[in-house]
Amino acid sequence: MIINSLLIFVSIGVTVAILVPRDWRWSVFGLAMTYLIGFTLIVQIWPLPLAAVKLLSGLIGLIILSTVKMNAENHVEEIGTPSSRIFILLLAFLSWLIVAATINRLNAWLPIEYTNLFIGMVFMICGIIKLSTDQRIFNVVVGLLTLLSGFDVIYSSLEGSALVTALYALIVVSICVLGSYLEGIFSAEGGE
Amino acid sequence: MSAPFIWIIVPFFISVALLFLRKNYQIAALAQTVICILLVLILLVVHFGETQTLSINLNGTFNLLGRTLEFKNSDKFVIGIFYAILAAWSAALLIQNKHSKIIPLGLSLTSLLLAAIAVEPFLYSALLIEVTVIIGSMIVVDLQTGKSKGIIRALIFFTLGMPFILLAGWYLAGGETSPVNDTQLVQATVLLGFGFVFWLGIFPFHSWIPLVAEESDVADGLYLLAILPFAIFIILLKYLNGFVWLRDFALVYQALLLIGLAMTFTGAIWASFQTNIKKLSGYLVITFSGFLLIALGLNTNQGFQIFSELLLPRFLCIYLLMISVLAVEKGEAIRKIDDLNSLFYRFPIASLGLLIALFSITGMPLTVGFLPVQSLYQEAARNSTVITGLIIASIALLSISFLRIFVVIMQPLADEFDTVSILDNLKENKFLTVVIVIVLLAGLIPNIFFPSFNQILNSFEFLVR
Repeated sequence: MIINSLLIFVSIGVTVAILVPRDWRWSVFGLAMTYLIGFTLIVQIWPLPLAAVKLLSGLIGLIILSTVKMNAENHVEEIGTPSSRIFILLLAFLSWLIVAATINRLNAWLPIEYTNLFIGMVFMICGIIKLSTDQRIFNVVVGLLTLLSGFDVIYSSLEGSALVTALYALIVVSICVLGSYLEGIFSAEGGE
Repeated sequence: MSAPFIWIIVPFFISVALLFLRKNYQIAALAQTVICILLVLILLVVHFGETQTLSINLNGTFNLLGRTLEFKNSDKFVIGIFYAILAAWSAALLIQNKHSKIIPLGLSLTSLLLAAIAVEPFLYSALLIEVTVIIGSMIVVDLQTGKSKGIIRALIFFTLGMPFILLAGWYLAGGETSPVNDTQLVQATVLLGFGFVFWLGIFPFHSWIPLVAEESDVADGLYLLAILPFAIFIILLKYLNGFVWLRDFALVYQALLLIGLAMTFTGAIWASFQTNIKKLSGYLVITFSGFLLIALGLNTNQGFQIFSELLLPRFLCIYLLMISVLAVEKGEAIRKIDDLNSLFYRFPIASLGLLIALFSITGMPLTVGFLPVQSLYQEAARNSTVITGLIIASIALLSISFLRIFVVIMQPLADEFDTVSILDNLKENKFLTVVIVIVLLAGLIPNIFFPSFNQILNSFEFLVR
């Protein structure tokens, strides 16, 4: 119970790390934390090997994504205005409020552990905010991965199968490969 | 030996093997074309499922990680369409000597789309569609245009759609045999609805379609836009066919009709104001998806039949449009409609192909689109004159737009010009002529071409009564 409550607070902190700082390292750190939190929740329901596949595929994907960013280290990223960061933080705050207000009703639809549903929803909305407030490929991919990570926490609580785990791992790694490919060739395009 | 192994697993690994052959592009393209044709031809002599005399019997199921890939004998036509389209695209790329990532990734894409259709329980199709979209994104990335907005949007919309379909599948899993209560029915329908709205690119989530068409190479973009919505339509039909209470829920068909009309009308409006040829093709894909949704939304046997018949002009028009633009692009780059100025005098066959493809979409008499579009008018008129009126208005808008293109293409050359001979690019011109003749023949003798497409409906025996 204490661990689960702690996980809820950590997950909120993680969404801030993903959304607010402009440095890509924070996004990668936040995403890695979402996989770790997801693993902690899923391992309570699933066998360790299946839960580990999700964690490992996520981390492998992050390494692929980070490689491109590290190789383009000298590329100077434009720094957003403080007001944009405050706006995103407020948006995140609003999303936490919405999740907190609707979670009981949602739990009637999806009969799973409260913690899993809350964290899953927080990650999903964080992902949507991330990919809708930034057009840069790297950040959109981070948003997509956060969204998927949140959905995975919810869906794993409903259904567990080897095929779903394998396909999910394939999707995460493929999105990272595609993201790093696009980031590598089109990094000059886009902007907030 | 099982059917899913031959038509899903083997092509996937052949695609991986062909990656190593890609340096010899012509050989890889030829190999892919031959393999696809072989896969189509094998379908003619085999039987899936129970033993039948006088035919080669194949097991219809293949177990994969605790789940099943299953083909019924009635699925043969759908499998055939997928590989026939890939064979046609590969052949065009081979003849035009056009480098594309369809060779060899097209085989992976096709095999994964077929896996999405064949997987049981079919709620897992959502995950496979997501993988397919990622591979499709790799195909359509074009380094020359330097743009990736459409690809990213497609990825976002398909990723947003996936959770809805998976959750709907989870809801419905218990309802395949036993009825679900009214609340669950509405919840599952809403979830499914959202999923398909994202996947089919229904307004306002359609923006990726014209963007992908614009940003990618014409062969790659149109291949993805031809094949991906078709697979999603088949999955939609599978959902409707699989759940008795879903197919009896009148609201579903009303929603299909409404969004079909929205797609047809908005697609036609945007297409008529479009000046970019590639983007125009994207909007035409939206319009045609609208026709298909309207046909499904009519919820009559005739409507389902029109749906299957509309697929032939859809594929043929997209294909003819693609090869015509490819033929022109070999000589000069075309982006805007103004670039087509006096095209007829420089590329007579290709410009004819372009015009026939465009006018076929409007259901012009003597073209392949005539019969199904005409049938759609008739069937829609039985339902409501407003629906028919909107379809006719959309077609009228498209026709006006295409007449403008016709005038631009036929614009006489002001100055003296070098005479062109169709012998200049004889191979390409012969190929184009063959496709044009097929399109016209399908319009002139519909009895030969269209009935076979009704076989698609054999897979949905509960839906088509």
